[in-house]
Amino acid sequence: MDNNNQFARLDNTKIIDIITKIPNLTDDDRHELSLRVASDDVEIRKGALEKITQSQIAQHDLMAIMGELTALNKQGMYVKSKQTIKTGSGTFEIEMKGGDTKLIIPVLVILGVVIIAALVIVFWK
Amino acid sequence: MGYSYNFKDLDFDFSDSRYLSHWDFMLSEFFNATKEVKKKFLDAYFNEYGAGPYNYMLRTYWYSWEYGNRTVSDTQSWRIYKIMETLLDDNGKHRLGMNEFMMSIKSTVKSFLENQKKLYSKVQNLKKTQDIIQAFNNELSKIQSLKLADVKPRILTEEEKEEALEISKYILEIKLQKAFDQIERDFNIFLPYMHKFKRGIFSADYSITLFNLKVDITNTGIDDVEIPKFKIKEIDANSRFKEYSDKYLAYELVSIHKEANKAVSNSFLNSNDIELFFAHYKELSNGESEVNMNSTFQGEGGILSLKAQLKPLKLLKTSIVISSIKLAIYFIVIITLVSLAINHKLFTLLIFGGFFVGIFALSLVSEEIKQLKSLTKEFKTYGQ
Repeated sequence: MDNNNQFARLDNTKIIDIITKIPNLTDDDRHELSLRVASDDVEIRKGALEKITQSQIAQHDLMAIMGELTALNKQGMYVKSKQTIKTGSGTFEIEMKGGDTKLIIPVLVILGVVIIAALVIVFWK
Repeated sequence: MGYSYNFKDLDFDFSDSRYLSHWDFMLSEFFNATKEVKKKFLDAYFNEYGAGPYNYMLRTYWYSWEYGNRTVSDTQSWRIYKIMETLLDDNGKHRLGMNEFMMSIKSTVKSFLENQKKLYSKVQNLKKTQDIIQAFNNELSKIQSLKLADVKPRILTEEEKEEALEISKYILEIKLQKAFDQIERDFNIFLPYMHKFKRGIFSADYSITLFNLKVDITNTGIDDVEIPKFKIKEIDANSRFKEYSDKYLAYELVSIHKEANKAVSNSFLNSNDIELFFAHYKELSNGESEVNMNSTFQGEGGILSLKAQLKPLKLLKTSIVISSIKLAIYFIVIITLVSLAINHKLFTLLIFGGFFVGIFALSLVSEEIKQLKSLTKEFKTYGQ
């Protein structure tokens, strides 16, 4: 991401130029309007910087979460997680379920065999 | 009963939005009147309402007004309003004309925007991305056929009303063009990403805040949208109120500029954040977990909402095997129980047990069959 490019989009020269060209304004009016443009610009840039910081934090958080989840998956652990992260331009929600399932099938087969065997023993005469 | 006003000079306030009250204007003129006008006022009051009311007004109000008090009763304010109407000098008339001129513009702009808000209070779904161009053209023709808000002007000439209307349209056209330029930029950022969804189930909606429109951009098959750029006619104010209208226009343009820059700064990071979304989407699509991703991205003119669901094929295969084994176990258990009961001639147990346990067993089996069907369907979907 090129923040300089983004900041360049907050250009004020065009509006200052328009104000200068509006015919029936006094010098005081022009001065007051220029001050207003400058003050608005400061406010907007401040907000934009906050968003950039927010986005960097989100990116860092997300990397950390993903790293942990990958590590847990590699260890063969069943993982269920839901994360909501506020980014610079919105929200990011990731819900994950899964992990190692290799053990489930043998467990189910053994359980089935045990149930059937128990039933046969109980009712067999 | 007193009616308290706090009058100030009613010169046009460029930062506030109000409707013009001729009543307030006349009271303001009265309290800011010269000695000469005040003398004329007293004579007119005496002639109009007689000695008794005149003396009462003098005793009760006049001297306190002279000391800066601004409390007036309803009766007195009505009388001031009526008399001051007849006493307006050229300067007063110019001030009234200026207020009428400026308020006509402000009311026209304001009422148009308020009507738009009401019109778009409910969310509308657009079927095609290109429909947005039609929405733009509709808005533009609405502005072009706009009529001036009636502020009951008394001073304005027809030409001045025409000029006020032209200025109102100019402001609205600039607002409209800016809004649609923002929407166009959003589309052109968001649409190319839609081709990146390769696996799984996904949906993408773009909600346009200003018009409450929702566009499904999941499978548009296009990379950009081009909103027509109309030529905004330059306004050359030449009425006697031109210094005010130009000042108002300048303030409006600065305010529009601020809103536009704010929208830019709000959307600053959307492409960065979408990149992040897709990086994780790609990474997770190779993993072994079921993933639901749900994100929103603020654009300049609206919000993009992205949803993606991923299920690894390996996980789906395992789930299908598990479901099949569970189903097989249910069948084996049921068949074993029934055959054991028949073998041992436990018919009463079979009937009663079959009735009570059978319902439970059937629901288990049917749930599992449904699950198996859905998993098979998902396997086909995600396997593409």
